[in-house]
Amino acid sequence: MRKWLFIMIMSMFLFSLPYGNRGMAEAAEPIKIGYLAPYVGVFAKFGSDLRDGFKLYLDEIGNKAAGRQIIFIDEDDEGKPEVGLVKAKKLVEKDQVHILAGIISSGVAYAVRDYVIEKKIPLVITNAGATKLTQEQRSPYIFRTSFANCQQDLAGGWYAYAKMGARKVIMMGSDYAAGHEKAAGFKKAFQFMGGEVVEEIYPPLGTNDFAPYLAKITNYVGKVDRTWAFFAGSDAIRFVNQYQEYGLKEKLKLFCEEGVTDEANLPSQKEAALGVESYARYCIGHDSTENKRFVREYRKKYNYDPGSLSEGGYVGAKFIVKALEAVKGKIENQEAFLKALRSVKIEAPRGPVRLDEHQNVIFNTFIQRGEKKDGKYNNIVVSMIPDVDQYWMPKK
Amino acid sequence: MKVAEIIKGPFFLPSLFAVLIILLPFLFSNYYVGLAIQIFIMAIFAMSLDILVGHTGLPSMGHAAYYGVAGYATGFLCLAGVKNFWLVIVLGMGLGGLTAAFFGLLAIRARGPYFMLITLALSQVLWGIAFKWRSVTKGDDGLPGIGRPEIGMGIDLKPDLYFYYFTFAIFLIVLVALFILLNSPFGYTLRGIRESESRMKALGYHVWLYKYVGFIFAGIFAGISGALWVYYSGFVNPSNFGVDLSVKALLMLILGGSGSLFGPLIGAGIIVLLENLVSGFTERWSLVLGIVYVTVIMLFSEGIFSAFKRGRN
Amino acid sequence: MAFWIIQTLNGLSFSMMLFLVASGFTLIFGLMKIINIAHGSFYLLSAYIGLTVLRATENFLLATVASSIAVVLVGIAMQSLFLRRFYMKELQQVLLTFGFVLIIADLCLWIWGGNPVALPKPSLFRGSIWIGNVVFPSYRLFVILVGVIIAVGLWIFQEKTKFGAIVRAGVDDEEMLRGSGINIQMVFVGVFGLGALLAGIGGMIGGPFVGVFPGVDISMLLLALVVVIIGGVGSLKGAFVGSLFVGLVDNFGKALFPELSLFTLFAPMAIILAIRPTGLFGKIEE
Repeated sequence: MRKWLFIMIMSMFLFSLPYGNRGMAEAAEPIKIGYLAPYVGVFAKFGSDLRDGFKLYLDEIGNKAAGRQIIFIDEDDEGKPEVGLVKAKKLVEKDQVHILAGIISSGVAYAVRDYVIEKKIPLVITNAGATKLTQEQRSPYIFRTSFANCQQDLAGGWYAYAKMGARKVIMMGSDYAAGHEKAAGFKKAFQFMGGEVVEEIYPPLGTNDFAPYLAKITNYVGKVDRTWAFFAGSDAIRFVNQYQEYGLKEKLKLFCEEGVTDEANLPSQKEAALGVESYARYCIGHDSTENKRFVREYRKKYNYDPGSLSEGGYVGAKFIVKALEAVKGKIENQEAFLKALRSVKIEAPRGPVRLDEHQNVIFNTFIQRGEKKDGKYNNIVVSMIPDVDQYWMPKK
Repeated sequence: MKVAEIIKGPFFLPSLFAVLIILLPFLFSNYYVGLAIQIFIMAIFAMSLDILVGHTGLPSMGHAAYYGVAGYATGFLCLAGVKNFWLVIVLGMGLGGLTAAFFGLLAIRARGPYFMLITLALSQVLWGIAFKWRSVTKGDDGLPGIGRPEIGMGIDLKPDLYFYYFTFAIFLIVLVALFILLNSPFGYTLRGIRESESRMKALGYHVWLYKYVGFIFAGIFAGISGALWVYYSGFVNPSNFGVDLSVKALLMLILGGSGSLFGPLIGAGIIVLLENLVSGFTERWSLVLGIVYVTVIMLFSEGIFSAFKRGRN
Repeated sequence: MAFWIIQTLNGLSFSMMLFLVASGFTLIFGLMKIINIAHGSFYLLSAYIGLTVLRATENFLLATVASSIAVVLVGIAMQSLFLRRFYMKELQQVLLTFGFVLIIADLCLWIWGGNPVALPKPSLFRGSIWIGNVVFPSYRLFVILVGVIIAVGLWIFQEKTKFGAIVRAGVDDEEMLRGSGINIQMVFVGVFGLGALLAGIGGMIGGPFVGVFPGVDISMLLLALVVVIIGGVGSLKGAFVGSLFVGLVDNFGKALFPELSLFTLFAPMAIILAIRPTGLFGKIEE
């Protein structure tokens, strides 16, 4: 009896194989966009934010561009490179997507890179910041509309010296590629201006207890001007909270990368994040018409505040669609489409953006600060550094 | 021979299967070829584990240790410029076996759940080293850009299609090797130990030594799968030591039936297909998988293949 | 001087949280020989349920009670409906718990979303106090207090109560227990529920400073594993000593040698495995 039950289930399963696509719909000549993001595990929130932003734009244009319907097919890369590669193959070979987008984890991006180049599929990275992807390992098929792991950090390094008056900093970042790359960016500009980095500490990912590391920082109170920090997700929440709990918040100011006091983390950090300044590619408090509209629509549709990942997804979608419109929907004419993608200039929620020669995005960098208003914690804009690209260097 | 007799014979299904496997790339898109490659690699991994679980009665929960060691060795060698597959695979097997030799000394003292706990902990130690020793392993970022090896004879393994046949060939070799090993007196002794250790001891067998040698063989064969996987995915990172990988191999044995020749392959096939295809249907694929695992264990606790075999008789 | 005090208190607070999670794990393994991979899932579930209750009522005690009840119910269901069927079949039991890990983790992700959160602390312990000229969060002292109280409670339970004696006997020699006429399934359900409760309390206590997020279930499980390997399976004393060891070594290791951080966790485990695999206080399985 059980045997037949099993055979029945397996047959149903096998026969359904060709149909496995979320978001698959019937249409004549639709344009298919394959999307890779993590929806489980520690990056789950990043993945869903990124997708929500991307889909918001698609919904705004009625899922149609230049007269052709757009089909959005997403797959879970679990934040793991080998899974990402397998899912990318599924999207390209089984679902026949015209273009790949998304990707949170730089590991996944690296794993997928060689494949998309070999298959000549354009890849629009809407988050993964690994610098090599638009530098040493760049390709005409790889575009990035989010940021590079050093980009806004360069601007931050300059700002710390030139505007905050900092001359010495201690740096603490997550011990993985992004942490090191961002630290390098900040350090480069800061040292260029004449600043000194007294020490760099890299706690591992998932550090539960920063207290032992904070003890080191305590030794530098009065001897340095700022603590630079980069952490993401739960690490960021713990770091900021513990920084305050151990009395460091008043004694030595933090200056962070945006991920540390991102809108998603503020509700868990509360007072600990009040007044903490960071540099960011996107600030929810940016006072432009486009951003106000974006934030309003995002809140209405999803019932939570957009963060930099949400905006990253949104901008990626807009880039693709604008390029599609420029070639009148003929994505099959790949050379023209790629050229169009390179030339897109749009007004994003973060401000005006365009791509540089190596197909990485250029944007204005905000300096923002955590504030409380009507019982809610959000970032507000303090200053802005225009036109920051991945090779940006300050003028002395 | 009548047709009915052929169909009921022991070679019919496997031969049919073999034909399907050879024709697969012409029936399905390249994506499925990739899945099939994964299935064969995981089948080798599960078969190596089955030496311990199905035949010796040693439920190892840290089998990924040898898989990961061979995987990292493959990665280091390849990035250092070593392209010869045979050299790398021998080293991978050797390191897998060596690690097993070392771990076996520590683990085989214990039995049952204690053995499981120790093997789990040992593989976690390796995970921790891979995760933290960033200067060598690049930690969680892993080592990307590992290319396909050269096997000589003018065959290029870069296209998935050729790598697929190559993996299938390796799978067959391992299958035959394990068949010989497990049907030899050594294999019978292992199964005797699984049935009753005390009886084997009373009969004069050096039980510990047999377990130990079996453990090393399991490590050697696991090493093959570890190397193949790194060549296929082009990447190695600490998850190659992951506990979820070790547990997944155990699940494959439960699903497909441990102690049988094709059980691991069937189990590998089911799990790889499930994992890859369910996510195309729902974002809640992880929940679906969990429910499937729990259901299957509750219903088919001896493995689906064994249930079939019983049904056939 | 203040540095040493702070780091010791720090290490102790982390140890106590570890003890809560590891004690349940070791009890379940010691008595039923089940490697409960879903042990971290109790932490996860309890912290999330506690979070919801906290957001609604702002009462930490109430949240702890609610989440504890929920987690105990889940644990009891897991044991009596599923694991029980595979009595003495450790492999199947472990795999079942693995299935539950996936189910619980994804349900939590579905209901609460993937955003990492830190549980709000109980209002009494939100501030920081001065120790010498250094600041220390009072919540950590609360954690140490809770840990010690529960450790003492468990000791009393194990040494002074009838149920505790039964559990001790069962850990030592299960066959004897079976032969003694006591309803062994009830004992199993009780211990599994107790293990879940401890992990659940660990989730509420850890929630404010470790936080709760997808993946914390596996991190807690791995920490429990390290503690239990070092301290010895089946032994509450081992879990306590193991937690102290891990918490303090990890803390001081990071403070003094930050480059070696994860190594300070796994090296002791590796050494114990090599020399005395049953751990410092574990029973030797013959």
